[in-house]
Amino acid sequence: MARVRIIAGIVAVVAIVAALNVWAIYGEFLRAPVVGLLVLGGVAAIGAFFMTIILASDKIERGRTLFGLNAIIGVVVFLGICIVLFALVRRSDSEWDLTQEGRRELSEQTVRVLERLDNDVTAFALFVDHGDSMSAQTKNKTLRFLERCQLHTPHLIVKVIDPLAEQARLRELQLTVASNIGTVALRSGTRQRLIPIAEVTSRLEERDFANALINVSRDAVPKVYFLTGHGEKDITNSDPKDGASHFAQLLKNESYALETLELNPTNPVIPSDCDVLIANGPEADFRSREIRAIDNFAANGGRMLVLLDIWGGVDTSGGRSEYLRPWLKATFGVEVGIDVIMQGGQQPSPELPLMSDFGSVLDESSPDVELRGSFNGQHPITAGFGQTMVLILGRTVKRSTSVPDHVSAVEILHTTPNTWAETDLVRFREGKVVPDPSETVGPIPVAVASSSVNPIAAGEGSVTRDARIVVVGNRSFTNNERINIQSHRNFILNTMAWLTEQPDLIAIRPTGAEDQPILLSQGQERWVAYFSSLGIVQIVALVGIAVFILRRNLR
Amino acid sequence: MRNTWAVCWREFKSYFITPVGYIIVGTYAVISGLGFTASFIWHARSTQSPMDYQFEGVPNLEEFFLSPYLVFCGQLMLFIGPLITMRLLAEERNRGTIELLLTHPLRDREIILGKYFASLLVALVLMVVVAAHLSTLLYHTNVEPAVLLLGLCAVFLVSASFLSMGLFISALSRNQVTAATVTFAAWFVMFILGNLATDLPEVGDVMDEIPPTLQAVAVPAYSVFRAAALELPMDAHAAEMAQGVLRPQDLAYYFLTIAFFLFLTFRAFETRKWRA
Repeated sequence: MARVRIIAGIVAVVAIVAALNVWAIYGEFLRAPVVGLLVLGGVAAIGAFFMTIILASDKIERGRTLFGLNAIIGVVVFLGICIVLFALVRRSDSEWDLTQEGRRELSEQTVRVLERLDNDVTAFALFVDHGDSMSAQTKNKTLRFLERCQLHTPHLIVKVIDPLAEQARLRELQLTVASNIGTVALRSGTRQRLIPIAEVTSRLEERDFANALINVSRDAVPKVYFLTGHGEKDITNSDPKDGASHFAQLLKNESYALETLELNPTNPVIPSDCDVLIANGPEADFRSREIRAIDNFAANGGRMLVLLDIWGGVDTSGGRSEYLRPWLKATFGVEVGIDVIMQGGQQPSPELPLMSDFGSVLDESSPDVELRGSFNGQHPITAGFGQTMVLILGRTVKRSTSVPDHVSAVEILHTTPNTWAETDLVRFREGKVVPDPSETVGPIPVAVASSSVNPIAAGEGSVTRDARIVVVGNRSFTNNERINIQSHRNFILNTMAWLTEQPDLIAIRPTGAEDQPILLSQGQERWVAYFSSLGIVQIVALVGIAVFILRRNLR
Repeated sequence: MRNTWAVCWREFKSYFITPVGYIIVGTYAVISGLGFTASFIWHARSTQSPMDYQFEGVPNLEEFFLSPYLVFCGQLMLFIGPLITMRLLAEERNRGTIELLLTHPLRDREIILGKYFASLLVALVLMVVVAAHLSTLLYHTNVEPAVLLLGLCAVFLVSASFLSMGLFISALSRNQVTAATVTFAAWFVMFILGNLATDLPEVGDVMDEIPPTLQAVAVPAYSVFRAAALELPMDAHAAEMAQGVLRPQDLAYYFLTIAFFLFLTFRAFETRKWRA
């Protein structure tokens, strides 16, 4: 029997190892050879164990075997208790999301949009049950979020659908699944928006939900025209640096209707249905006829957003007249400088962070206006701003010292104090910029919002609304690469809401799972690398040496 | 409790009156520091130009940097843990000082818990290193407190689980190198098998392959096997916690794992009474 015991033990080991090999080779666990070998191994192991007890020759050996058996049974029982306890806890399936996102109330804008709902909006939550924790968690998070939204309106109806189990219902409702991990479809009347849940973040972003809600619940659709023909950025171009397709998509998501507009050189006219005209980074100056058409548009209460890069409208060589900048100054009291704003330091940089936390200063041109860091704390566009914007290659845009009486111009963005406006663009192109005592130093205004009531039209009573314009001395923050930064998006959407007189849409939008950019200079990167990789290790080594010396002295 | 504390303090001091403790902490500081530097600078750059890094918007600090980094710190215990636990009981046996220890009026549990708590104190020192790395993060940006605290808790619980298993293996071995090697191998095999188990099909997908007569037995057995295999990697439950989501099942997993391996250590330690 002793030989049988040894053979059973060997068989057990060989069978289990062979089973693992077959599983690894074929990649399938539930194959007859794998299961068969495992069963054979298990039976042989149990047999060998009992034969050991039976074969124990004397009391001591039997006693040892029984102690061993006792230990094994104890371990198995304890393991069983642990598994049962774990299974019980796991069944409860409860969780507490302690993050800001899990705790926080909805953003100001989402609440405002929800409270304004007059008609029913149905939110179809389409979730496939994959049986894994991630899909279950995504679904739970989404439903918790929708429940929070329902607290602010009786008009939001939530319906949960499993696209696999309820395919007929899906077809009947004409819904499509836009993401494997989950989709939320908002529907109000005939308008519908699908919100695919991104697999990266696996959550319904509040920002996407708020946008979709605005989209399906909005009555009017403001028409926005993007000017072309002066080198403006193309709204169909998806290039990260030169394209503006994300800018266009952002506006479409908030229910703006978009068109491009190339003005007829002989008879330029701004369409009468134009609510906002956007000049996104023109590289050439406007022609005099075009300026007349735009002036006529403004005189009738037109609204404009002008984003001017440092190259725009500066070519006056050959005796050519300049039109756009003088018109902005004369009509709206907005002065656009011919300069490039640089950030000082050991290595001057054209990257300009606009922040709210470098202290409050008074706007020199309007002493009653308080600036919170870079942002005008009183203007509707920037009043709630606490986020960091980053402009690259900005130029001065300031309120003119001689603003017409019927115009109200306000500087809304300023650079940080450690900046200066480099006026020598030749030197800048050569990469040899140095601050000159005669040049303006920061904070330098880079954006002005201005409104003008046409005195004649207002006097006649034919036009009651004022013309509005926002001029920003930079367009880099609207390119595809940078428009997705939360603060840039907020600034643009607030600007559009101010221009189209929709104050309920001016707000700090929900951020979703996104953050502010972390701006590390090269010096700061070096410091992080030094401290984390070398500094702490050296501290540990120093402590070790100190302990060694202390102990030697004590001896 | 006083005896437990005495054993714990003696053991903890023994790490730091020899170069061993400093080598352990220094190694951990270098690896976690390099990981921190590389991933933080990468993250900072990705927040400035999200599209260059395939992000649509500014990536979230907690989700894309902090949580993965803290889970990485927990996983580092896979390599550092054996260095801490190899000497706990194996060294005592190897040097013959275990008999000396047993002559003291100490209960088994006081010895085992004392040594385990000492290893936890070393793990706490390692947490201080992680906290020092994170202090540079706090200097540059705001961090979600729940993610930070729960993330550090997750690192500690992963470490505590690894160490309990390492203590058990140390109790079985006479040789420190053997103890360290076996501990590392065991953790590594659990890690690999657990990750391989994610490829195992779900029960619903294999029903057709099981003969109807065997389904009553095979299906529950397969479910249990699959569920158990998925639970093998000790860091599996840290990911959720490091995202700021507290789930009782994650806490239960770690506390039960620690309890189970401490129980095994007691059983292994008391074998000397009936094997001699």
